[in-house]
Amino acid sequence: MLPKSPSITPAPLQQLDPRVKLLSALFFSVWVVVQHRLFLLSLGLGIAILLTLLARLPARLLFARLLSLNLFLGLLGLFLPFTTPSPHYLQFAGLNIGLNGLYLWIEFSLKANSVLLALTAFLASTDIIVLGHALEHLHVPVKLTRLLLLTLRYINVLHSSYQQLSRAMQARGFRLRSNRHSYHSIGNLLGMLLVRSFWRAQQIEAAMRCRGYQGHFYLLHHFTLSFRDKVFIAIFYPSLLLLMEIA
Amino acid sequence: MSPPLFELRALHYAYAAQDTVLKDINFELRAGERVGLVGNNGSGKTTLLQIFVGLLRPQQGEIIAFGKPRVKEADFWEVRLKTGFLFQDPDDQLFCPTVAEDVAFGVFNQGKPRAEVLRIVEETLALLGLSAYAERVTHKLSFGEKRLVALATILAMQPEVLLLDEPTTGLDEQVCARITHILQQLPQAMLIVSHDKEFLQQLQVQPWRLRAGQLERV
Repeated sequence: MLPKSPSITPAPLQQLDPRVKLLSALFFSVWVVVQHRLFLLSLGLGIAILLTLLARLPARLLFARLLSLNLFLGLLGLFLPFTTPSPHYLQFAGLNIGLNGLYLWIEFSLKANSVLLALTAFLASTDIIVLGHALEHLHVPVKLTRLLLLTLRYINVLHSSYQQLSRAMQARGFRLRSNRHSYHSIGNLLGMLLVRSFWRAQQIEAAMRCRGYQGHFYLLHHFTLSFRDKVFIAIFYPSLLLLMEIA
Repeated sequence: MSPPLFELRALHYAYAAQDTVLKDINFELRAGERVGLVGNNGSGKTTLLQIFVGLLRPQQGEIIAFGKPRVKEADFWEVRLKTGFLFQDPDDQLFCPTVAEDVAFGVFNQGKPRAEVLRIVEETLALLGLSAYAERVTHKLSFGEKRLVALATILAMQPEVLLLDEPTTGLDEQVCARITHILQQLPQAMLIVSHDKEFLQQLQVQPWRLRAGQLERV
């Protein structure tokens, strides 16, 4: 149910300060998105692959993510070269392949794969709870970060409440069919789930007020930039900027 | 005799469009007293506990807590900081990702400086034998562990009064014995809602009963 951090042994990238990882993921994504030259985009993909290696991500996770993205890109590849107006066409097996469309498709593919790899490398190696805290330290509005953290906390509780209800329905012989009774019952189940979530939220708020909550959250953990972080910053950012200048 | 920590005078409470749940409640809780509150399901025990800390406001009657009459939300804020309320369902109480953060939450709300908060968190967890749990993720704990951590979150605030809503319900013998042992050592005044007769006996409580909206000494 819950997203878990997939890698267990600390990889070089995993030991970075989560704030650095977040900002670097953002910076790299923007850097890739604004490039238009295939040479730089290929370099970007190379950097993303390097980051992935540094994050030592499990191959299965990476493969699954890359597969779903590239299936979509493959679909795009079937249409783009034939539908984008282009001054030049390649003649191949009786088809007119538009060069502009082909170029666009290659650009999209490189960008999408680079961003996906980099985001996975930076963020999948971070526990999502730590990520929530890092966002808070980066002054993302507290309402949003708390929403993330509380969702993480309670999604399991609501899920088990859903399971309880649906098991209790099954225990009384309920089977999902395509009939009025089924839809009616599922409607009741979802309605009850909504009522329970609402009630749960009220209870949590009451419990928080009992401990003196007045709308402010305090952070227990502080992050500090280590030597490793500084080295990473000193290499990663200048090299990306330099690449743009040289090429 | 010391003045009571809590005093309820001629208190009435009714939920909207329902019969009166609590009628003419008069009650006092003094320092060091342990009161056990029994009553049937739906007799208003939890309602009464919630009235103590102002989560519900009575239609009539007075609440005097820690020497002052309490009426408004702002009055009750101070009451809550001095009162540890253990909810029936620990999932309602533990809302932070990690145990240490949850224990720190109330202490931060008391306005204590960071270093002290960290010290109190550590001490409280040690007191309850939960030191190894500090960085554990709350939603992955077992029910018994959640109940113990919930107790830690309120004890960390060093309250003068404990309001415990069915603290042993749903626990196995081991955790139950552990909670009983912890509570026996505590000096605070307690108001305990429970159906567990053996547990109430071990804590040597004065028994009170809620029946048909009336609160009476048994």
